[in-house]
Amino acid sequence: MTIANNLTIKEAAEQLRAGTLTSVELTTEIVNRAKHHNEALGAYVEITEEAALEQAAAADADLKAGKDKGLLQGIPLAVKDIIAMIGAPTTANSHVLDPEWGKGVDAPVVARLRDVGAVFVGKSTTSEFAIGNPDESKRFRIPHNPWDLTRTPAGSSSGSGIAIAAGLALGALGTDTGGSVRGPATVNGHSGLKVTYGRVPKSGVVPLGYSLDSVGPMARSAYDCAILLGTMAGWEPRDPNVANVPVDDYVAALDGDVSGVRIGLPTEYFFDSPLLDPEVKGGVLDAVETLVNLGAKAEEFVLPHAELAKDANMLILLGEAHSYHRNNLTSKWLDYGKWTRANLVRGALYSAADLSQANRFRKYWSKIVAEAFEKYDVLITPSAPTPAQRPDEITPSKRLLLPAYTGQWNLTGLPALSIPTGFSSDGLPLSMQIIGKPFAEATVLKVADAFQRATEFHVTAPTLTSVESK
Amino acid sequence: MSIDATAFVHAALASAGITPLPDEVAVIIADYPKLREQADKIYGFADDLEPALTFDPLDHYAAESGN
Repeated sequence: MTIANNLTIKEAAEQLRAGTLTSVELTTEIVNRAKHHNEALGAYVEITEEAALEQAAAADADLKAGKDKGLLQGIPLAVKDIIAMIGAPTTANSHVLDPEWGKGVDAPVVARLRDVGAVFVGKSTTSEFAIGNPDESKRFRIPHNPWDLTRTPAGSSSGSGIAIAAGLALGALGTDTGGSVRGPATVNGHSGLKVTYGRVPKSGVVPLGYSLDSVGPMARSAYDCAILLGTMAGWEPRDPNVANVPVDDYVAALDGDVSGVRIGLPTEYFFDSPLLDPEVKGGVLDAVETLVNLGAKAEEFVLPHAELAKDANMLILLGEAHSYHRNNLTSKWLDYGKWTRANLVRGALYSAADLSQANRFRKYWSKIVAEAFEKYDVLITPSAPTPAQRPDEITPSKRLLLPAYTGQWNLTGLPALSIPTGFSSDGLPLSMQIIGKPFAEATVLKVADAFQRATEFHVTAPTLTSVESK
Repeated sequence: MSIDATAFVHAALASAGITPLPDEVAVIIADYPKLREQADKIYGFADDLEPALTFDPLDHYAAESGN
């Protein structure tokens, strides 16, 4: 049977319950597709075919017996390879991580998905330790953007991003410390949510920035992200970073009604850089116009110091990451990929006072942003200044000079969702970012869902025959 | 603030016990002024007292400690 490579979780769940599709059929197709395209796309470090088919069969048997565990039952998902999962090793795409790390254990977020009958296709490719671009000299597959194999799929949740775009999974877990869910969602043309810090447990995940990391859902649509988040989110007594805040019914909140929603457009830095691609900017503004036509209100305003916020996020990230890696950097320098070590070494170049000051700035900027949210329900910015780039355009040295629009929201711990807004003249996905108040994922998802009810960019997939021919 | 990036980078790497390859050290030295500039700008906004970094001694205790 033919299963479309842009099938959503919502559609698949309907078909599973209507009896027109089984999880075994769906998983077989997804796994075969993943195996067939993995050499070219590099989405997976490991495809857990046998376990996935067992999980699919169990999901089908339960559904047939009337045990309906929810919309994720029988749905094939990818798990970023810094997240512990029973049945496959966790490598962090590195020769450095202890092979025994996380062995035989599910991270709490994976356990929650397993409990509702989700199917795990495999461990998806990550930037090494969620920070280093791929190094061809190491043994791991190089990930490629399915829209244009010469361009990067972004990182660090590269494989999860590729898998969603190319239909090699219907949903995925990513992590985000400075943009690593939103970046891949942006350049691969689908939806990716960085949650509020503390919304989803992050124990059982290799850390990058302790005070910045989050685990987030990636899927074609905001609706699918809402389905995933409903299971992923919530209190976890074993995780000191989880907030004891009630979990909203994210799916029930998706009523398509954005009348009266107040959208703030922070113009300074986010919209006025000469390095912001005009097509990216145009895509965001067209999307905002669509939302206004649906009843929302939008207004430009100035949110000062956004560039400093980007830099403060990076300084804190590098300091925290360096503390985690310090011992291995001294003894296993060359075991790290060249781009990973180029990033991690920077943590040794800052002073203790720098880290203290960055954290003081963090408090200061969080207050400014909170004041903005007294006037607005969401903020909207571009997700990135350009569509997908080539690997030589995003070396650590070059990225120092580029604007970036995602780390500011890790600094403040706010939820931020990237969704597609269209395509460039080169046929590459364009994206916007919707930011909300703390624990207001329901509002962020609702605005995105309203836009996606009026457009089809999020369900437009690259043709895999074009991948095969390259 | 003028800095001797070469001297600082060599000292920082030695202090951290890290031994990159010579061409990597050259890149770190070339990038350092930009990193420093970005970090220095973060000192520009705050007064002496606010915002303060805080610490809660009750973090690992029951809601109200005391006798």
